[in-house]
Parts: sequence; C-alpha cells; structure tokens
Amino acid sequence: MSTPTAATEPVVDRLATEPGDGLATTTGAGVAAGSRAVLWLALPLAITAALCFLAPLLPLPDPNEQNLRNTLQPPVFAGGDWSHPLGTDKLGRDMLARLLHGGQLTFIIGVAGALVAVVPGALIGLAAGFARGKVDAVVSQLISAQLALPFVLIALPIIIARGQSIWVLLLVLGLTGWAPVARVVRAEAMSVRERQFILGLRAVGASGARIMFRHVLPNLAAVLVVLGTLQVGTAILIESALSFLGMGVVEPDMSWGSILASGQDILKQGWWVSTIPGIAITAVVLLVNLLGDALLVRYDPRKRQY
Amino acid sequence: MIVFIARKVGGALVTFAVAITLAFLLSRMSGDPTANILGPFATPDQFESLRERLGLNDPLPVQFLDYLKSAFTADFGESLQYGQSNTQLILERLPNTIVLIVLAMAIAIGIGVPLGVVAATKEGSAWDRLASTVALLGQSMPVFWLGLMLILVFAVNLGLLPAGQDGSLKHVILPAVTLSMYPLAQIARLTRATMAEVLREPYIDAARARGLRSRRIIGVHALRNASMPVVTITALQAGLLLSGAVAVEYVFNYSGFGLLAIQAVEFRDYTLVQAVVAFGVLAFILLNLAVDLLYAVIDPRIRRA
Amino acid sequence: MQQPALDIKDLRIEARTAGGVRPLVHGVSLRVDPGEIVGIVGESGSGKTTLMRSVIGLLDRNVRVTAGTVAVHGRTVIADGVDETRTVRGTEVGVVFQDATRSLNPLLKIRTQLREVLDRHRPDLDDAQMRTVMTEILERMLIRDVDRVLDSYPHQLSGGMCQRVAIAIALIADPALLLADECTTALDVTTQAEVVALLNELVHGSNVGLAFVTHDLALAADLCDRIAVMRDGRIVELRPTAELLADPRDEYTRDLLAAVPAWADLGDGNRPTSAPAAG
Repeated sequence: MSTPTAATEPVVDRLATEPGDGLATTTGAGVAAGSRAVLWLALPLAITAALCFLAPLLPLPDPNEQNLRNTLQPPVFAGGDWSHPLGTDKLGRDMLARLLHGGQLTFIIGVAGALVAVVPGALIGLAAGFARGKVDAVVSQLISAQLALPFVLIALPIIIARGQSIWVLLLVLGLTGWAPVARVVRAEAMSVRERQFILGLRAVGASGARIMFRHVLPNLAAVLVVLGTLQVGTAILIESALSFLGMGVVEPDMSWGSILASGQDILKQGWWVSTIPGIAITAVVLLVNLLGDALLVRYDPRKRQY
Repeated sequence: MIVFIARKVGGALVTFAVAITLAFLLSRMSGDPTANILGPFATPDQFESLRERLGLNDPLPVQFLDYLKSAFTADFGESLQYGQSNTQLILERLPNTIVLIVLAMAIAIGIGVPLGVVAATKEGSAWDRLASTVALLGQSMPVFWLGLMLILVFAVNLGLLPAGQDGSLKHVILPAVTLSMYPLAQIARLTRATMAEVLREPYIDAARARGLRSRRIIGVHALRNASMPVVTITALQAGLLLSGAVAVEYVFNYSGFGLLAIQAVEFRDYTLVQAVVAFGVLAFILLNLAVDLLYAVIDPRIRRA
Repeated sequence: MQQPALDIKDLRIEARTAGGVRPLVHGVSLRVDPGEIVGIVGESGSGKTTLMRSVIGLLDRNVRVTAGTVAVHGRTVIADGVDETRTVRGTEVGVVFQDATRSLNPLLKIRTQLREVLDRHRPDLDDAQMRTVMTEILERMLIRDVDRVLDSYPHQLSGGMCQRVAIAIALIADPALLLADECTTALDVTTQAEVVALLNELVHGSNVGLAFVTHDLALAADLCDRIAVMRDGRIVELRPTAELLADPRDEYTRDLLAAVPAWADLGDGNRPTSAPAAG
C-alpha cells in the first residue's frame, strides 16, 4: 500500500505532532537527556571561568604591561607569532592575558548583577503575589513603571550624579533587572498560593511569612534558577555596553566590554582588539542562554519556549 | 469602546507619573551631582552657584513639583553644554532616531515573522533547531560589537556603505540593520513558539477539515491568533531598541537622540540628562499605550473588558 | 440506485511509534447510505475517531492507512496508490467536531467563517448569492436571529448555537457525507437533545448520509438507524438499531447495553425497541 509522499501533502497536514517528540518529556529517557544538556552547557562555562580566574597563575605576560615597540601585533592566525597568540593592542599589551584577566570582572559583574536583580525581585514578587490586595496593587504599578524605564534611562541619571564605578554598575543592573523577575515570581506565587496544600496550611493558622518562605519559595526554586541564569547573560551584555560607552568599567580595570572599547578607533589596523572580546562575550552569553533554556526544559517542560 | 480607551489612557498617565517620579528619585538619591559635574578642582563657590542654578538647594517637595512641571510642560531649561533649550535640542535630534528605530523594527518584523512562521511549520526538524540556535545567537551578541563588525566588513574593507554620516539615506542602513538584529531574533523565536502552539488548536484542525487552503489557514487563522504575543513583545522591544539606539548611534556617530544622551553624560550636562530621561519615558509609555489599543483591534474578546 | 455516501471496505490503519508498529483499525467495513444515520459507538481508544479522520486524511504524522478502500459518494478516495482525501474536505464531506466553540476561530466573526468556506468551495457564486446561501443555511439550523449570529464572535454565542453554526458550515457546500465526532459530548442534556433533533431532521429524507461517532449508546439509539459497535479497532457488531437493542449478539454489546443506567432500571423487556422515525 503506497501512501502519498511528503511532497504532495500540503504544509498544514504535516503539522500533527508525533507522540513523544522532543527532549522535554517526563520519562526517564527525557530527563536524562535534559540533564546531559545542562551538563554539556555548564561545563564549557565553568572551564572558561576557571581559566579566567586562574589567569594570574598561568604563564602569561602581565596584562597591564605596555610595550610601545610591539603595538598592534596581529594574532597568530592572522600573520602573527606565538609570542602573542591573540596579538597585542595599541599599547603593546598582550591580548590573551587581557582577555583572561578581563574575563574575571565580566564573570563577577555578570553573576553579581544577576543576584542583585533576582534576590530583591524574588522577594518583592513573592510578597506581592502572596499578600495580594493593596500591597499587590502598589507593587504591580511599580513593576509596570520600572519596566517603562529602559536600562539606559536608568543608568544615565545615576551615572551623571555619581560618576561611574563598579558599584554604580551593580546598582544599575539591580534596578533594571528586578522588575522582570518580580513579575514572573509574582505570577508564580499567585498560582502556588491557590494550591491545596497551601490552603491547608493557612487553615491551621500558619503565619503568612512562614508559609511564604518555607513552602511557597521552594516551589519557585526552579523558576528562580532559570531566571538567575538568564539574568547573568543580560547583566554581561549591559555591563559590556556601559563599559563600551565609557560608563562602566574603565582603566586600569578591565572587562571584555572595556577591552572592546579600546579597539574601536583602530578597527582598520587592529581589528582583533575589538573582534576577539566580542566573540568571547557572544559565546559566553550564548552558552548562558542555552543553559537557561536547558534548565527550563529539564525542570519544567510545560514552559519550553525556544 | 470609548470607556476602554479612556481607561487605557488614564492608566498610561498614571504609569507615566509613577515612572517620572521613579526617575526623579533615582537622580536625587544619587547624591549631590555637582561634584561629578564640576570635577574635583572647582571651588566651593562654584559648587554653590551650580546648586542654586539647578535648584538643588530647594526642599525636596519643591524640587519634585518643579520637575513635574517641567515634565508636563516640556520645558527643561537650558543645556549646560550648549546653552540652548533642552527641549529644542531633543526635538531636533528625535526625528533621526525615530527613522532609525522604525526602519530597524520594519526589518525585524519583515524578516523575523516569516522566519518564525516557516520554523513553526517545520517544527521539530533539524532546520527548526538550527534556526532557533541562530536566533539565540542574535540575542547573545552585543549590539555595539555587531555595529563595529559591520563597519569593519562593509565600510572599511568593502567600502560599500558609509560608516559615518554623509547626508544620504545610505547612512541609515548599517545602523538600522545593526539595531534590528536583537528584535529580529526575539520576534522570530516568539513567532515560532506561538505559531506552533496556535497550529495545535482545535480550530486549526477544523479549518483543515473544512478544506481551506494551507495558505489561508496559516496566513489568516494562525497568524492572526499568534500575532498578539508578538505585538506585546514589539512593545517591550521599544525599551531595548531605545537602549540599543544609544549604543548604535554612538558607534556610527549617528546624530540622533541616543547620541545626544551619551554626549550629555560625557559632558555632565545635568539638565539635558533630565530632559532626555523624561522624553524617553514618555516615548516608551506612548508606545505601550498604542500596543494596548492595537490589542483591542486584533482581539475582540478584550474590547468588552 | 444511489451511491452510498460512505463506503469503507476492509480498512486497516497503523501507527508507527518508538516501540514498534501498532494497529489501530483492523479491517473495518462500513457503509452509510444517503438519508441514513449510522452510529459508531465505542470507548476511547476503540479506533472510532481514527476511522473518521482517515476518511478526510487528517491522521497524525506517524499514522498510515495500510490496506482497504474508502469511497465517498461513489468516488474512491483511499485505495492502493490513491489518496484523494484532501479533495473531499469540505466539498463531499462535512465534519462536526466535539467542542464547537473551540472549533471556530475566536478572532473571526461567524459571517467570515461561513464565507471563507463558500469562497473556497463555491467560487461560482457571486456576493449576493453567497449571502442568500448563508442566510438560508442558518435558517435551516432553526436559528432565528440570523443577522445577529452572523455578526457575532464565537464567544458571544452559546455552546448549542456554536454547534448549529458548525453544522451549518459542514453542510454549506452540499456534501454527500456528514461526519460527527462526539459532537454533543460538550453540551448539556437539553441542548444535546435539540442538536440531536436537528440532525434527525436534517439528514432523514435528505440525500446526505451521517456517520455519528459517540461513546454514548443511549444517544446513538435515539438517533441512528444502524449502529456499529467498535472495540479495539474492530467492529464487533453492526445492525439496525432495533435489532441491536432487542437481541445483541456480541458479549461486548451486551455489556454496553447493561451499562446504560436508565435502561438498567427498566429491565430487559422494557428497553426501547423502536428505531427513530424516518422521513
């Protein structure tokens, strides 16, 4: 018995899904695949971070050591030699050393920036979603208003008043990031709140705070981990942008964003100075985003969202 | 329907007031800006006269009222750098940024939506996974870096497109393409996800059973129902686009609102920054309002709420 | 001698899953004549929905017809090397689904959803003729306020009204066969009775045949001329309703009959024995 070939079926007919497709299932095989994905993504990130933080121990030149006779050496794959595998910048400093050292601040600010957004965001969202009523109304309005302020508009007033520093950077990251987190946590808290076991706890008189922290919060753990992971990516991108504009990390500190900035006026003669840190940022943020998605798939297949 | 619109506009006004207040608090709570504006070598007299000029010696409620007044009358005083009216400066540059953002959004939607639709119809295939990863790549890339790379390739090496301003429309292309990348990726991913979901709905099944053509089913039935989340995202994009525009204008030296903002911070032009923030907030809220109203046009179920 | 609305012969359908090949329908044969209502009764998993969907070719990606033939109004749509199921959708075959409100697009007016089917299958009609057809078919559904319904969105109509609209859409291009898949399951009892009465009147005495899929034997007994009992992909019994009720031959059929609560009380001798009136 022959059946029509795929070519004769109109597009719409091929849409019916096969049972059991995709990674995200709750079967043993699906879960194992999900965990493997998480591992394969977390590993390169961990190794990269380790390399950056162990940089001082590695046999690399001093990232701040200037050598004006050796400026703008190309990387080894563009005509240079192995003495400077990733070339040198306009002050003769070794790019590989700068990249690895610069990664430290990038990672630190990334993680700190995520924490500074997720922790307050989660607490506020939890309080709003759980308490409801007036508290919720006020908080929701705050969240909408905060979301109405793009990060640039938050960064500007603070930076012009304070000048730029790492603390200002973290403040900006916290202020930009808490609202999306709070919004999600609030919604989750509201739905968990209505579950039977919570209603039971309240019926026997358990206090609000206790219920919130001991029972509702653990249910949100998965969501928070995913949000936190994705926020790291956002934090790295914001920090890079601000550093690039001269409003974030500046000399003598270095992050990938600031190194990138140092290369913008020498694009023709020294393209690697800007290109390489950019690739690094893209790669790390991509891995972080994939990791966040993999965590989401692994721990809550219903919410899977490519 | 009128009630609905009135409610939405009212809500937008409230949000604007709250956002403006937040912006005010942010700038005031950051301490005395005169130190940063004048630098460490100014005299106490200079600090004091600047403080007077900026109204920073007035009690906080008075400052707040002044600020609200300037926000609602669109009069932010003069720029510290240029001596011109801040509002004037902004209104001069704003059209350039609007052109940039509109063009970027047009690219993002024009390419992102079809990409998402095609990916959804091939759901689960290798092409789909590849497209999703490429889209994710687009969202992981720093926008200013993409701008630099495009300059490197197209302007420096190939000499095809101008890197800076040359008065023609050509100089908008690279910045617009750069700016469009992030929203394009996000729109493609979201369109794909919502389309895939919609295509599983019973009414799509029923439409197939009625013999309607694939093109109509996808183009009319599915797309219409899938468009709402995409419209929402487009509104959220506005905030990102504004931030992106700042970076893109800086990289391409494009004389718009964003570049003005950066220059204001670089030169510590306090009053101009206040004006920029207020305008930015207003623009964003207006956009959200437009989206809310657009929703009601697309989805009849919302109108009677 | 008229062509049967539906003629299924020895149909076999298989599903290919990760665990191997699973037969869903094992050589089923079934005929529905014009003006006749044939009930297909079975539990979920019995294959009745798969059978229905195969006629219009709306099976899941991994499900295939492997043997047998299907003919609609004398035309072969499924045979060895033949699959014309796409061409009969909406034209020769009309389908009514379980949840009418959800089988209509929530963002489009009823008028649009009726119109697009006419645009697709009756392009020969002009605007005025289409309007007439649409009004007439809704009136046939015993809908009084036709203009209001046409101007409404699905969420503004009741479940029963939506189902009438769905039946109207299914019949608008004059099909020879009507397939109803659990189309009254989502309705309350009163509305259910109304829809059943409507189907009764629409089909009996017309030249449309109706295959009525349901898990509710009592409902089928009320409406259908003949009943096919399906179990595990096979038809275990296919007989005129009166005979089936009075003298069930298969053990499964007997179990189903015994399970109907209303009839259990009445006892064997008091079970309804009359077939629904024809014409």
